[in-house]
Amino acid sequence: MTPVDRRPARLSSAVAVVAAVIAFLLSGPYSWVALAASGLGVLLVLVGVLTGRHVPVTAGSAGLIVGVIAAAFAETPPLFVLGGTVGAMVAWDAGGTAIDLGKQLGRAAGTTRLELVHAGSTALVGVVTAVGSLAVYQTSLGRSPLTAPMLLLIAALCIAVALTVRGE
Amino acid sequence: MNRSGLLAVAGVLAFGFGLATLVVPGLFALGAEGAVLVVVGLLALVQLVRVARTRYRGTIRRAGTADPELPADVASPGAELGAVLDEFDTDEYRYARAVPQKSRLEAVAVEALTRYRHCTRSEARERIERGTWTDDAVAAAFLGGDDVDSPPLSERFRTVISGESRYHRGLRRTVAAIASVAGAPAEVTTDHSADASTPRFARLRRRFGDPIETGDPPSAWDESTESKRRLTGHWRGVSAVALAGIGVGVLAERATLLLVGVVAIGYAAHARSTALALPTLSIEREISDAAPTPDEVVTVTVSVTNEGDRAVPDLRIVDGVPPALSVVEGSPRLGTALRSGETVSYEYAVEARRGEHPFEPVHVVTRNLAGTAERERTVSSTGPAAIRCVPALERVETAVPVRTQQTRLTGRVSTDVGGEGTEFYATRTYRPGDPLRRIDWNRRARTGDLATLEFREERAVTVVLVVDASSGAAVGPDPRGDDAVDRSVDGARRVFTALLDDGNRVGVTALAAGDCWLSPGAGEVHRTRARELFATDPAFSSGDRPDSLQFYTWFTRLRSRLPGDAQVVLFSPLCSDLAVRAATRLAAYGYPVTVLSPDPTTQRTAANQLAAVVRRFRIADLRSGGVHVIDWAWDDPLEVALANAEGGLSR
Repeated sequence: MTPVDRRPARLSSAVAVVAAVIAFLLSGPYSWVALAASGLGVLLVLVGVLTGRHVPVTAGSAGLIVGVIAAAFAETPPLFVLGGTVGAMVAWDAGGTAIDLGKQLGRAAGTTRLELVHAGSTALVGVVTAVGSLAVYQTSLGRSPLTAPMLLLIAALCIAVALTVRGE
Repeated sequence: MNRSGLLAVAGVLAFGFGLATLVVPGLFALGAEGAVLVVVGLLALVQLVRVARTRYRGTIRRAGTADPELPADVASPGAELGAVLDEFDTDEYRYARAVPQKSRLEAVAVEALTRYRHCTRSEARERIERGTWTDDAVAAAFLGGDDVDSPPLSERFRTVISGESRYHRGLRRTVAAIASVAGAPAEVTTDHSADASTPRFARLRRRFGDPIETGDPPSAWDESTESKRRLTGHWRGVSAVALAGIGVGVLAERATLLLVGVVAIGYAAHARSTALALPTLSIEREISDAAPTPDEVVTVTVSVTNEGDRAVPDLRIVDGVPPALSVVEGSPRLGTALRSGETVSYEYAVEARRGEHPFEPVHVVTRNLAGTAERERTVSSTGPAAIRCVPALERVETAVPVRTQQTRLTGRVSTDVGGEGTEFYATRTYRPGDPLRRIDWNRRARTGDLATLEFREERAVTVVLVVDASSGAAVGPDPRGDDAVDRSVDGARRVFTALLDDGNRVGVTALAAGDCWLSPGAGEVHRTRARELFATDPAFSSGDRPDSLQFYTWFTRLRSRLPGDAQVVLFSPLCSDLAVRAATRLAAYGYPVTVLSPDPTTQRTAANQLAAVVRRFRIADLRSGGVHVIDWAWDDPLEVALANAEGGLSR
């Protein structure tokens, strides 16, 4: 009698690794720091979904974000920066979901539909915000100072964070 | 409150500045209000650190699930050394509980020496003190006095190399030495040191492990818990990404970095906004065969319907597989998303076992779309409530060694009484009134004397089968296999059938807390009742731990029911003193007692080994008290055990 296989769910693990690799490919080539940080990030995400532990996945996603930030310093096209960010977020979310699903349901259970819905919604949120912010970015690019959209963004940030903090 | 208020004010301020800049372009140029931006950026970074710290402060709990696909773990006899030593509590060592393990182990060694080396207690103690009782230097030094030579250097070197503590090594070797004195197998198959070192790793894992804990499965919930709602902390820390993007972007004047922040804000809003409604589910279960035969594979189909108006984006289900059954195909779990009114079904297969196996409620965990909050509850399902497996009674194909005490009823148990029968027993001189057909006519023709032939009378016996279903008997050598109660019930079923077929009156009872009693009887109705009893009585059900029982209450009840001419066959692994007490007391009241003992002992650890030694003591004690003990090796069929016993116990 074999014990229940509680390793992370396959599909979400694959999604996490693929998303991390995409983030790496989008931000890595632009600077050495980005290459190192996101390379380490991919590795950690991989380790996390292989061992079924949250800490490496979170740390890996943080590494990917650091890579994206480093790439932004190196004049990476905004589309790539956005893609990298969404990739890192999807990797984090899918990795965590895979681990939780593994712990709660195990690999033998049929979880494809849940994983697709979850990963799909996360990717959709990323794409919508990325397209929206890119649109704002592109339209405000014509005006010489970026101060106005920037300040509006900061306002949005403060309010959103205020809400998030209360939620946590 | 303070923090979020501050942030809200900052947000409104920034919003005002932004609007002003939009209305009057050039009011604040990027270079001009650098100081403000630096402050905002620094604030963002400070907040980032705080958020990051929150993420790693404390632990988060998420729903945990049980392992319903596996049967309950079977403990090995002597899972704990202390418990074995407690059980070994001879009258002389009543105070043993207070003394350290080492001197209690010495008591076992003394017992073994007096039994198997034929020396007195004082001699045995002297030999232990001098260290001459065993060839093993480590064991001798472990129990011996100060003047015993310490083990040779090579032994000590090996102890250091193996990483096992000196105490454990001594303990292990001493138990092995005692086992060899008692004639039990002395080899331990796995090392004891492995158990000793686990706590160290556990502590290490706790320190560097996940800050996320898994909650209790439903079986551990208290009754009052209707549903549990908790935050999973899944997107916790996403605001840190937003803060990093905006903070660094503002300070370094990189517009593209702001985009990182905006995307992260999008995720933060997603994490906060999605609601978690309590889903209305109906779960229906279908079973391919609700009354299967043992080992038959039964397919269970579970259909889940979302009866609510809203879609359930994240649904995790663990079906309540009966605890004693194991899943052989598929998984009783499902993770899915369900639109309103939609039904999803899945199936898995379990292997049937003897007994009545009710399904447990279904464990349901739902999360919101973002996965930030979860709710768990149990849902009872519709459809058949249990799998009921009542196996046919099969007889054991060897003679069951019943004791020589009979009723007046004709049966098939041979007696030492001459009379009617088929097997020749003796001749005696003719007495008037002897039936003509029993006169030895050959002899009459030869000598002219009248003699009467006597045949061995065959009579029925009344047998009560007692199955030890107490907690001490719920042990087995394989953690995932049968326990001794299963074996005992199996043996009792076959012995019952054989005895009943031979025309005896047979009753059944259990050494258990519950009231399980079938008074001795015969006939087909009795057979059917016994079949039901063996299959479905709670005392015999496998999977859950038997309750503790009051021995004297149980014994008095049994005594009041037991017919005076009955004999008792006790099925017990003899891993606790309870069964020994039952057998000795029944024997003392004059009931002939046979103990049929499945041997569940293993050699995995030193404690297992010691349990095997103590079991040997118990068997020897019972045998010397006039109780027949048939030792039934775990891998042997019952026939072999009975045939072996027939050789050793024959009249």
